[in-house]
Amino acid sequence: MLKKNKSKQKDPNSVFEALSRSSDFINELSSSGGFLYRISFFRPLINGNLLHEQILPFIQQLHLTPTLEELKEHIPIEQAVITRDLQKVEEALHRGSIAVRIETDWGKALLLPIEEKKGRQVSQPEIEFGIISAQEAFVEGLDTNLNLLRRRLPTPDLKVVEHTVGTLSQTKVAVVYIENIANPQNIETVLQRIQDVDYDQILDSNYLAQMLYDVSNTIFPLFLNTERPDRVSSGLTEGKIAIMVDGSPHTLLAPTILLEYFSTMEDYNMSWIAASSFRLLRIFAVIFSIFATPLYVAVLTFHYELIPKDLLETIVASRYLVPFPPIIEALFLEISIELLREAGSRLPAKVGQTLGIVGGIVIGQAAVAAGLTSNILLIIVALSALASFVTPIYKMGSAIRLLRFPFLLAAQVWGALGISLMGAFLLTHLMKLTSIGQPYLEPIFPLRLADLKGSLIRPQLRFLKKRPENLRPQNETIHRQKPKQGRKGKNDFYE
Amino acid sequence: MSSSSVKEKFQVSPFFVFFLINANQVGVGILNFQTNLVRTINNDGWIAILIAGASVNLMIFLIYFLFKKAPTDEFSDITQSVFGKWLGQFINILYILYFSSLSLIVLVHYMDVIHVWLFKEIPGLLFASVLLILVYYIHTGGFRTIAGWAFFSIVLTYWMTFICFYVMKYSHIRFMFPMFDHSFSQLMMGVKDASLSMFGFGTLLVYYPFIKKAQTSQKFAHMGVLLTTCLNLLVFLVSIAYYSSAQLELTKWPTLTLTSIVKLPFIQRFEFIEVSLWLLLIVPNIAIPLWAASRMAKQVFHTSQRTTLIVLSLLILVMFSFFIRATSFETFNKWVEYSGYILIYGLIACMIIGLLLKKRWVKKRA
Amino acid sequence: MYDHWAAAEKKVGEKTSMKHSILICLMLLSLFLTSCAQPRLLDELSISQAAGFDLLEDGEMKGFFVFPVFKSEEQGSYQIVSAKSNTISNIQFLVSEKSPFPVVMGQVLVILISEKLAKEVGMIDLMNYIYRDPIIGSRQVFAIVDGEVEDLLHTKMNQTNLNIGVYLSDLLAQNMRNGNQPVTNQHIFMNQMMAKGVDAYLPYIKNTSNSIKVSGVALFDQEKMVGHIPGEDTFTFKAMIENHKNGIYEFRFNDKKKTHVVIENIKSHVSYHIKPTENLSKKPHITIDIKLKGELKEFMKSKKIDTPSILQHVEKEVEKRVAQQGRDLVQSFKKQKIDPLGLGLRYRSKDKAMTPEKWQKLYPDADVQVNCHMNIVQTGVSQ
Repeated sequence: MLKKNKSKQKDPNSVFEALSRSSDFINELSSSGGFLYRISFFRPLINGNLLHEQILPFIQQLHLTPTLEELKEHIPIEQAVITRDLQKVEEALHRGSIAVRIETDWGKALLLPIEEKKGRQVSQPEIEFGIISAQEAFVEGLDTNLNLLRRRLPTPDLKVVEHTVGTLSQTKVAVVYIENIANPQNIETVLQRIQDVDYDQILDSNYLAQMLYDVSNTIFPLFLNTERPDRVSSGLTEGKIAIMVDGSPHTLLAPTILLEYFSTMEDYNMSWIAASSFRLLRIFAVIFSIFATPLYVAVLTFHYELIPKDLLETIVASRYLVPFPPIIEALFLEISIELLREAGSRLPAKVGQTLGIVGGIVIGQAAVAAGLTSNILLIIVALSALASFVTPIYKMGSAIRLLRFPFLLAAQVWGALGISLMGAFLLTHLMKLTSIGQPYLEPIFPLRLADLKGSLIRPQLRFLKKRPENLRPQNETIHRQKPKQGRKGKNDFYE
Repeated sequence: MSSSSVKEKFQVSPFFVFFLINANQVGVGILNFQTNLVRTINNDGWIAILIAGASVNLMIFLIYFLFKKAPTDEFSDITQSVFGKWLGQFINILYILYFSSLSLIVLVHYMDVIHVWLFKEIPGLLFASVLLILVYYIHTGGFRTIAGWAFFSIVLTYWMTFICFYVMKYSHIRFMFPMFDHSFSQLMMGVKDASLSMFGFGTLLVYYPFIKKAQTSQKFAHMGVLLTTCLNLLVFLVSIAYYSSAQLELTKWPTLTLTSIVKLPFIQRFEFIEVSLWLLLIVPNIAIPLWAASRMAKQVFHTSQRTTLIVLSLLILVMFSFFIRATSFETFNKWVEYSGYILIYGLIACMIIGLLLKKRWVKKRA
Repeated sequence: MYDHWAAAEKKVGEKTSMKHSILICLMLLSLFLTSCAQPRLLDELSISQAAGFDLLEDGEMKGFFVFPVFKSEEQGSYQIVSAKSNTISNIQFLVSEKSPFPVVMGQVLVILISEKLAKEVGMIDLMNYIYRDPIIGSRQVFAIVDGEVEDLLHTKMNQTNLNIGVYLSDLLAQNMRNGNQPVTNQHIFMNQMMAKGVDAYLPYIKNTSNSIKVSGVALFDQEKMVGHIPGEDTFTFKAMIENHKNGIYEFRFNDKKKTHVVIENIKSHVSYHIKPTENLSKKPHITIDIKLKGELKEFMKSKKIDTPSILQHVEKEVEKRVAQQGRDLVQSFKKQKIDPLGLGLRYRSKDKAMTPEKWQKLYPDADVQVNCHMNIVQTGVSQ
């Protein structure tokens, strides 16, 4: 029940006046009980129910001119703030607070946060789907994400430090860590780098990641981005630092090592033998994916004598119709697979299925029948494309897909020697990478045998007594193993 | 012993000395050391290898002793403190040239191998430049990257020793006998040939300050030399069992021709893959001496290490174009061998003596 | 904490160094791409899988290369091209002149030499090229052909989908593995040919009316062929040379019924016992012990093996015969002044004082005893 005749009056406060030029900003002057007051808010941002049920009735039933302090005491909204700081008022208004001002002092405002968050519900993870693990994933809202995280780590040591980055977007960034475990130097580096970020809009955590990187011209991801709360919580207990960005369902974990990109949360849900085999399979798949096509090109172009004599006939016969040298064939097939992938990721679901069939079967089969490629190369390229998707992290998968091309060109120029040389460059590049100061190739390169057993294979849980050394945690032991009651020793076998 | 002159964040753990020493010694020497060794002492070469390994171990011990007694752990300063400023700087320049020649020899030798075995038509100069660009890229990562390369080159290529066991099927132990029928002087000639392939350890003098707690790394250095000795021994024994001595003298690169009998189920001729993978073994052999040379040059000429690296690389490229496929390479090789003996064996001994004498003289004065 | 030059470089003159590095990259890239190694595309090569050399009357060699023709419908078709010259690489070049693609020898599996070439010219010149070229490798097999290589190579092979090169190489490999041929390949041959104290040997094949068969072992004195061991004696020869599994030995009892007995070798082991003499004054004594473990494969004419004494009788017969054959072989070697068993080398490994010249003198008088011990472990599923 706001009186309209006074609503058009100019607001003496210039900040509010500037804001009122936006038509979704409500800046009503109203009176009740004999005093004038203004309530200002952004209509789309606030929870209208709370306004109508809790705040307005209370104000309207007052008869005497209240002070803001009285209002604060009686209105049941927490975190109410009385301030003269216009900067703060502006910020709060943008975050869904309402500002109540009384005519006695238009310069002082009572800020009541009644934000309404609209966004997705917590649902299944889209990218890091697991078969036998929990199916919750982060959403865009920071508070929901923190909710999911805090439920998994209800410990007082879990600290959240919030910052705002982005001059226009004013994005909230939360740095989460466990105080007694994470290395204070790492924490300091991360916080320092976040504070140094000077950009106008931070839309997504991956934007932020690129600004926090140690080295910017690399295709390898230096922070692990994940949308699974269980992965973040296990990372935090190891001593990692999580960076959550409001508006992005992906959380960054730092510091990371190369081998982590090949492990999934499911590894810990399965038996250690199965998990270790699958992990080794993933590493093998990645190596296959990078080297298979270049090796094919190198062997067929330069090193015919490497082919076993029984295979010679098959390979030559398969190239019988093909008019191009192997490199052109290989590039053609690789590029068409990349096209398929790019197009497939943007197609709406209904069209996607049909096109997938067209791309996969028809193009592949037709290419062989038309004599544009050989069927052996088709198998190799298809398998290596498939193998590049085994990494659960999308960024690493795209890095692997891209890595194939320099190797292909090197194979064409200098054969197996070129592949070797390009591999040397790649190795050097990997050796120089660091993730907030920790070497990327740990535990292989600064050799840490204790960590190695946890990275390449997944040993039994009772062998994982210590946290990974590469994070230099403060508190090393994970659990103390109670000595098992010996079953052997008394009698032989059964009895 | 003084505290290190290099900041801790650039240093590597002492464990890496094992890889650094080993990587520097296994390079192109292992490809054809058997030929010369068999020419001087036929089947007793293994004794020569053992003695050579022991002498290298002795040298390592002396080097660590030198650093223990020296006032600083920068080698270029030690030479100056023993021999005086001008003579010391001159000796430093000799060392710079020696280390650069080590890289050059590896480059020329490997280029030769590639030309004969893989691709005759690759312009040697271009390949050498690409390798030197790789070496520059490695240097931008600091000493840690170089130590990492030493580590990876060992870890990624040692599996190729399975070849030694594969060829046993085609070799006869009786080719290895008779033994012990050579005179002492022949044995000494053999030791000279055997120790040539193990000479890369000299760069320890320059990267010593980059090791954390350097004196504790001595045992790793000895282990590294032990591993090289064992590897050389294994390769030599397998070679003399596999080849008859006349055939061995005819073969230019016995270790590579050894591989040509290997046949795997999916690869018919393994030696081309081995030659390509050998690149991983020689990169530290080029990178580490060049790093040592450029670092010493930086200290002698007081410029940045990047400049000295570029200058030395260009110098090497120029010399390379003279040596590729030229007989003057053999003479150059011999010069470098002799200077290696003098610089490593001779000069270290002199320096230790000089240091001890100086200490006694200083004590007398005080 | 890590630190590296790239971070420092960024701060100093970022824009100019960026432009510089792009320029340098482009220059290097263009240099790099122009220095491609020469491609040897698989389907643009004439890959030869077998080669053969004949000696012509005027002293020239005639060389043959077998090229498989890869057609997707037909398997095993091949083409034989030949040329005449004095050296192998020239022959290769002349054959290339007749073919649309360059001739390469990287996949050569078997090299055939005619007996005349091996006897008159010797193998050393051939081996010079083959050992020198790294593309040829060490695994291929040499074989001496009784007759002319040309006839052998042009034998019509029906009922097989392999070209003649692969056929021959499989033939030889199979015989070395399962039959009575001693194992040899280019490396072993080279090794033995160059060593002093051992002489080399090679498979000896022959072109019969409708097929090619392995008919013995050709023996060499240094580089020239001097003779061959006929097929019946190859079992004993192989038993004296190396430990082997498989191999068939047939003989006949000297009894009324002239029973034929066939023994299949399961495992054989040979050991040489050499007694070195002082100062090489007396005759060297060498004892060759062959231990055979075999299976009785065929025992004809109705005799049942129900008593152990029959088996022992067979064993003793085998021992006697093999030992006798061994002694005969050694005699013939001594007469031909060759030493394929490597007695000289074995002696030298025991006694340092031996030199190749001294061995030449002592060899004809050397006392070589051959003993054989046979053990029949199974007789199949019937008595």
